[in-house]
Amino acid sequence: MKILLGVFRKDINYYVVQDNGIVLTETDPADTYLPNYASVKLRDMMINSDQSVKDGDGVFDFRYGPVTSGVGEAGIYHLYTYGERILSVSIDLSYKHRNIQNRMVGLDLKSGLKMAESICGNFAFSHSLAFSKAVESAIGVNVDSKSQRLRIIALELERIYNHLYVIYQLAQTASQKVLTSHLSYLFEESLRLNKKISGSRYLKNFNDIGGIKNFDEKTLQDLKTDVQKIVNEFKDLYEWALESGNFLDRLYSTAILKSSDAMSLGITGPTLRASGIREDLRYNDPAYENLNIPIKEEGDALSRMEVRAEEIFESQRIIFNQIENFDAEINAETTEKGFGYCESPSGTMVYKIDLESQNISDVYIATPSLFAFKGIANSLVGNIFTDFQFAVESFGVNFADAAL
Amino acid sequence: MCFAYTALILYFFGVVFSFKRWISYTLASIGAAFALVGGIVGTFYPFTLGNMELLPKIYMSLGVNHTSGIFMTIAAISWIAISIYSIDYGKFYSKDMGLWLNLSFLGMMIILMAGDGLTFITGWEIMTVSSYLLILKHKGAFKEAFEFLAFGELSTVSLIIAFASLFLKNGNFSFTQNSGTVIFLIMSTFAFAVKMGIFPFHTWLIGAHAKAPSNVSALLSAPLTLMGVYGIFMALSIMPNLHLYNFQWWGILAIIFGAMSAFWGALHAVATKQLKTLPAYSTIENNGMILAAIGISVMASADPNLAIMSEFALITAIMLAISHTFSKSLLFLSVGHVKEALNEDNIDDLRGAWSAVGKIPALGILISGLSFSAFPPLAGFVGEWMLLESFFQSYKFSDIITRLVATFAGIFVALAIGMAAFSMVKLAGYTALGYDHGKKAKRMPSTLMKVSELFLAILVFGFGIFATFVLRYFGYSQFTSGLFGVPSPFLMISSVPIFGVVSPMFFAIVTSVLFLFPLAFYLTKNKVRRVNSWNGGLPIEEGEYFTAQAYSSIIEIVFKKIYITKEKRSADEAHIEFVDVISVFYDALKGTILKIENVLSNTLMNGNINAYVAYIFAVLVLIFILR
Repeated sequence: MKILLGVFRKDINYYVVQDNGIVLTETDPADTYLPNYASVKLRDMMINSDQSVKDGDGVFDFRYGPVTSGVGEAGIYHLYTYGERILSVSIDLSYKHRNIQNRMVGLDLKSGLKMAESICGNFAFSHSLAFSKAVESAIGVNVDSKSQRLRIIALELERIYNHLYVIYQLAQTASQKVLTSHLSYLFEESLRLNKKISGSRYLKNFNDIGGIKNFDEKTLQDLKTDVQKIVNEFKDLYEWALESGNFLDRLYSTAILKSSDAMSLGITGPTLRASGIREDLRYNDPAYENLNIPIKEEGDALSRMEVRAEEIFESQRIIFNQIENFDAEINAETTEKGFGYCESPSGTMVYKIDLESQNISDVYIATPSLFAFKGIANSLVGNIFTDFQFAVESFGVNFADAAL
Repeated sequence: MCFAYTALILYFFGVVFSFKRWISYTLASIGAAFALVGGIVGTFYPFTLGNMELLPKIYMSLGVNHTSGIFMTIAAISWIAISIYSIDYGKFYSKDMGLWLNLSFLGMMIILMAGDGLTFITGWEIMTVSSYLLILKHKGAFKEAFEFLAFGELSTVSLIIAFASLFLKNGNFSFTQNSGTVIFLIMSTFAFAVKMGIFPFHTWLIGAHAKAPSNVSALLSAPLTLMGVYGIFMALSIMPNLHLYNFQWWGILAIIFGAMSAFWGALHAVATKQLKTLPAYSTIENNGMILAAIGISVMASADPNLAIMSEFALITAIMLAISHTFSKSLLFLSVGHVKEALNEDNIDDLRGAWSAVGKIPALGILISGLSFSAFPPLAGFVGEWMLLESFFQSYKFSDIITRLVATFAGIFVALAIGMAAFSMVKLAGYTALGYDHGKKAKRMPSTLMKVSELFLAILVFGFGIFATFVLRYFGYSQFTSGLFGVPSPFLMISSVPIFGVVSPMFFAIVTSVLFLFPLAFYLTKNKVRRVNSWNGGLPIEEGEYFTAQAYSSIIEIVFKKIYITKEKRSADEAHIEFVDVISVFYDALKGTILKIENVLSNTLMNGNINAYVAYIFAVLVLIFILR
């Protein structure tokens, strides 16, 4: 399986990153790259603008954004339509473009980490983790086992609250008032749990280069019961939700992303797994044991929700496992020099960093959202207006994460 | 009496003076004014203009009675508006348009005053042929005009059969009480239903109305289909007493076809994107409602206990005919004005008529659109309220089948009324009130066009607000009353004892009083800040306007079985296709006939002299054998 993680430029050459950190140069044969190579290379802020259906009786651009209720951040969805049916979608990410990669160059490591954490609030820990792993591999620091385990726990906590949020949004879009209220409460509980563990509701300032310091191990026992409580309550809600025909009807066969499309677009994470492909960076990490990450076949909004819901249960198991083996030593995962990556709640997060006298001299960031927006645009074609919100929410991605 | 004579003579002079456009149209409008007075007089004091004996017992007669007086009054108002409008509008077309316009008015006058079948047919043919020639005035409308003529002659033929049946029974053609026969009723109803554009005989109406010059569209849609309505009233009036004979089957058929028409017309009005096709489908819808109302009246008249309900349904049909005639004339005239000024056909391309063309034509579209959307207190609201009240009373029928038919028909009619509002919002919302395209309107003399639009707009308002007085004027004062502090006769009631009530006048008073407060606030406030509506934070661009197609796509997709909707899509182009199934059927029929004709002309009529000699010989042999 080939997965394109990113394309970065150094001096005059482009380097292609795929297959979990394998680096090719652009001079390698073209068939070794994935089809979305060109678009990833260009980092185009307009997604799919060349594939718009603009001609025909009554066809017009239903512009959704940049500041409209229903679009969470500043960004534009151009839905080309003759009414109701979505013919093609192009997405304008440019409003959230902050030129992060250039701004990061020249920063010291501490400020770089701070900036990475601030790229996208709800993936703060994933960014922080991928960044620090890249720096650690670049300068050759070994991270102690406890820190590694804590990082895994924090990453899974981030996954739990993100997945809860996505399902909460789907329930809200389907006007499932009771489910929405309960999920909203669970989401808040999970944020409070983050605060209890890390001091930050969004797990910021917790991770550091070289490991996690200043952590009180006593909180771990409480953590177990807290996670148990949240996950148990979620389990009940989820089972009831699956009995609501109204809810499932809105999700079933909505915004289907075929596995072949998902692969060629470079989709990763739960979205790819909902299209029937077994892919997860966690499989490569020896710190995880007996992983059983859920996979669904249909590729629709319902499958994406199911994968996310079942991942919450899996995350609980992972957290328990890490707490139980907290004192056991583990071998660190080895990566190529300057590379750091992790499985964020929505897919693969990669940092490629070059250092020059403890300052960042070059950085390339590949986020799951960049690819997922192509997936949203692809899956919406042929759906109708009312499916739009379900499609967007089910991918669980952000403009801030994609536009950088 | 002299007024009707004068009107006929003026129309005749209008025909003669057709070489000078303005004289011809002015004569037509003065003639229509005389016809109006003749109609009003005839409503109260029926008169005859004399008989002309052709053969023993067979004579042609003209006269006006209560019913035809009412219809003449309604039609004459529309004629006045159309002929005044044509003084300006006729300049875009050749001189003989005045001739045919006068002639078709003359034909309709004759229909309304006909006291016998021969006169009626004469008027009918004059009207049909001159309307055909009027449609032809628009370049490239040959196919549509011919279709109009074909259906027109279909109705003439069935009228001839109907009158033949009259002659067989009575020995003459005159319309007298109890002279009707069942065959007469069936054939004449068929003829009039075709003229009204009742489903499934409505296809001629769409092409003809859409292609014809706009003053002609108004003529075809309002007074011409009104002749069909009058015909049905006339046919029923000469049938034997409805109490004694059972004509419920006629009522049931009328309700079913009426409701189907209303539904079908409204459904297709929703989907169409053509400026003049939409009002054409709306005509089908309205005539369907009128037929359904007549149907209820006939069904109720079978039961002596329901005499009041029968009368109410009958006056409902008349009120619907009034609202349709005025509103549809207004709609076609205003739409034609806008279309001519901007030279566009699609609703999408005609946005912003208010600022681009003028306030009066835009107001005309808006008011007629609101009237068809049953917006109180306009005339259309009164008519449609009465129709629904008639349907609500169908529980009074003793027969279960009748009740069921009326109930389901009521559902379809209610749906039709809702969809009519949907389509009218599209029409008025895009053309009259939509964002301006920035298109330059053609400069043209339009004062008289505006006068006639304003005249009709005031009538649409007036006949709504003063509906109770209209009812009293027509002799139905039992349906007006006073209640709940509303003084008599400002309240309309739908039955005696009271079933449902409404007072358009008081609605108008209350809303205008409520409107005074915001108006006063608006006028006293010096600084009015005008801003564009929020559109995501960016100015809206040309390609981002919500199109008329998009407005109705959801209906086309949901009802795809009825519209036979196909969503066509290629790499960078996409559109929706849908059809009127009935016209597909007629097209197939036409195709088959053409094919058969082609085969026959190639084989039998092949132009070979030997073959023709052989035919003659064969016929000779046949004659010998048969002898």
